Amino acid sequence: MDTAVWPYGRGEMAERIRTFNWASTPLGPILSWPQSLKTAVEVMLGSGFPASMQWGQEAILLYNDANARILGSLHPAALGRPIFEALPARRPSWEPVLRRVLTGESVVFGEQCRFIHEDGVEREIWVDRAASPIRDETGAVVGLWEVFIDITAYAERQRKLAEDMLRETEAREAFLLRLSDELRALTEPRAIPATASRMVGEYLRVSRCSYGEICGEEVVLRGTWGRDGAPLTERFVLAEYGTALVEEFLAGRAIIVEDIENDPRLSEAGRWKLRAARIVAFIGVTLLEEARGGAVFGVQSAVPRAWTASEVELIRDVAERTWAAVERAQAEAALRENEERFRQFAEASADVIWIRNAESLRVEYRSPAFERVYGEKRDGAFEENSLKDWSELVVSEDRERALACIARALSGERVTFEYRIKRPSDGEIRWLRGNVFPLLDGAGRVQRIGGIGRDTTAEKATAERMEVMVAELQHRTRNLMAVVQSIIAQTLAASEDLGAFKARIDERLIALSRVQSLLSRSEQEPITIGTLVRLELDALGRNVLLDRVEVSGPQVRIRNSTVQVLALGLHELATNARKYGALSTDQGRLRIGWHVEQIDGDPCLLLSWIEERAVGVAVRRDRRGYGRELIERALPYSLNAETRYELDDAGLRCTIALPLAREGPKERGA
Amino acid sequence: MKSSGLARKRILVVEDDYLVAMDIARALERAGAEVIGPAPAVEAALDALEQTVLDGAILDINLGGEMAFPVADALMARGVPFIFATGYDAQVIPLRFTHVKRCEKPMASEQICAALFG
Repeated sequence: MDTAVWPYGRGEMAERIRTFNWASTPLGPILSWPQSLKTAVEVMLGSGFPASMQWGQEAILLYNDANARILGSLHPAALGRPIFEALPARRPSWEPVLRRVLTGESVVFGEQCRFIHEDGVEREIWVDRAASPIRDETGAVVGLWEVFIDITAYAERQRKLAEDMLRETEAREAFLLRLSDELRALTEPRAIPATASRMVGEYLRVSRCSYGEICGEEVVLRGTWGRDGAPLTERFVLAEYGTALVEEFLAGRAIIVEDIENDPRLSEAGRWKLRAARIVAFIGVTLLEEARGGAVFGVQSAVPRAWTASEVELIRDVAERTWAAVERAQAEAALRENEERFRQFAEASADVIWIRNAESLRVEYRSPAFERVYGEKRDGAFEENSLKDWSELVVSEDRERALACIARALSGERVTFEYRIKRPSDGEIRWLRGNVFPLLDGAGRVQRIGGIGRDTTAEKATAERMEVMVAELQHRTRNLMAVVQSIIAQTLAASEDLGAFKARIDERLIALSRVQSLLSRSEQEPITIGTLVRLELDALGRNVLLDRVEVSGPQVRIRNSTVQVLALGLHELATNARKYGALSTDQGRLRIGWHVEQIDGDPCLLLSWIEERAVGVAVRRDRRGYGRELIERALPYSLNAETRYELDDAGLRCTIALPLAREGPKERGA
Repeated sequence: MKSSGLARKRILVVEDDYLVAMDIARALERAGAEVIGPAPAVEAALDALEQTVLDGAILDINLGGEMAFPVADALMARGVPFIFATGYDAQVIPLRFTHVKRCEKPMASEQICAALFG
């Protein structure tokens, strides 16, 4: 073998190894090298990867062209020298490796940085490196084989990928943050799925997006968003698109379809539906929870799309956030509804409804009725809204009792009590009936006390008025019985037989009952002397008398206490006129007139009753005893009236002067 | 109708209604009593009370709107026994007269006698 010829090859390192003075090294002249060394050198020089060898006990360094570039300024001096003489800086890290390899072990190093010099330019490369033993024919380890693989381009790609992923992750995080912010601001539960759909749709640049709830077999869409007016469904049945999809759905896995035409899980019918809806690719993420049912978030594309794992993850995140936001908004809406219901109820109440904190005793709520009853602003007037402020409105006589009742409610009792308040605005006293009750927390402690205050002022006044009226009615009835008793006795004494008695007593009792009905209506229709006179004349049979009776006088109101006895007197006058007097014949006339005059400074009603008999008409036996007694004695006695009663052949001339004393508050009827 | 208990007793009748007053007076007279009055109002009753030594009195409480209590006070001050003839319930009557008997109208002379001297 020609020494000048081996090793073969035209490379720089083949040339250098060929011409190197190996005889001066422990390897000896190249012609004496064992075949194992020569084979290893051949393989090394032929390798396109940077490769080197360290041979023998001295670890003599040999390397190829690619490796020479990595050695940089250490090349070519490093060739043929012991490794640690050639590269002393490598000793600390390399010595243990060398030892391990010489005992027959292979060592692999990943991703190490190296600098290479190519045409005088230094650049950084990334390498994967492996060191392995070289054995001779006997199997003994005689050297170390080291090879580099340049992974710079790969590492570059990886780094770029990592950067992209980081950017995407950051963008996704930012998106989710923005989504959360927008959803949190929404109070209307129905607005949430629509907003989430729109945001995801725009972010992922898909054709449409939807959020739905699982209702049995169906998915009912609660919020949808579509680009370019793509048609939207309101509900669909998943099983109609393929049973394989239902399996994924039940397992809680995302349903990912990149192209409906190539996905074997889709049924042909499902494919037709999707084509009609212009959906070519889609993702559906389901959230299942036994207690709450489930929700589906879907994104759809009108063109085939290779969905990434992070997109699927994003949609799952969005689905969860949307669901949580809907739940939150529903709970809040329910709470608002609750509050609103209470407010409507309390604000419409005519009673004062209030709530106080059991700890601070401050007012937490007071209904508007407070302003009407107490005449104070419900949040204004009392800066503190303390119990003391309220108790000062209660009249002093009732204050201690009212506060004691509040204290009982604070200790857990329900209390009803009556109290009076004095309104600061007008000083008016008002009666209230308070119902106070404890409001307990979950642990049964009194957290608040509530109360309902009813203004019973009008009720009280009515009750008092009723009491007076009942007493009054009793008095009147009893008195009336006594009067009836008296009339019966008088009539009986004056009647010659029972027939006459019956006729008279009937008339008198009827007259008395007319007066009673007049008195019972007197609150609404005050009684005037005219009413009384006409009532008695009407009782005679008005049509017969009209042309012969003349009634004139102003409207003069008379006291209730005067009415009964006056009416009885007028009744006797009228009856007598018809039976014995002017109206007992065809020609007689009756003139009744009255006016008011001041007598001794007091107003007085002057009434005259004048009967004129027709000339030549015989006078019937006159029985005017009772009427006369009433006029001449009863009126002066009971009413302090002055009366005259003059009966002669010409007729009857009767005058009554009745004092119209002012209506005192003690006016109570006879 | 004779009632020995009322014989020759001087009884003041205070009653604003003429017919009722006359009835009571007649009943008392039939029982042998001497009727003082009847008086329709407080003033007239007090006048009669001043001028006569009384053995008893019957008072209507409501005299045409004015209450008869001043007359009752004057009678109590003189130690004259009296009764209220009234339709009112007890609660209308002041506490100081709670011991005074009440007769509901209409009434018989026996009732009056029993209430006054019984």
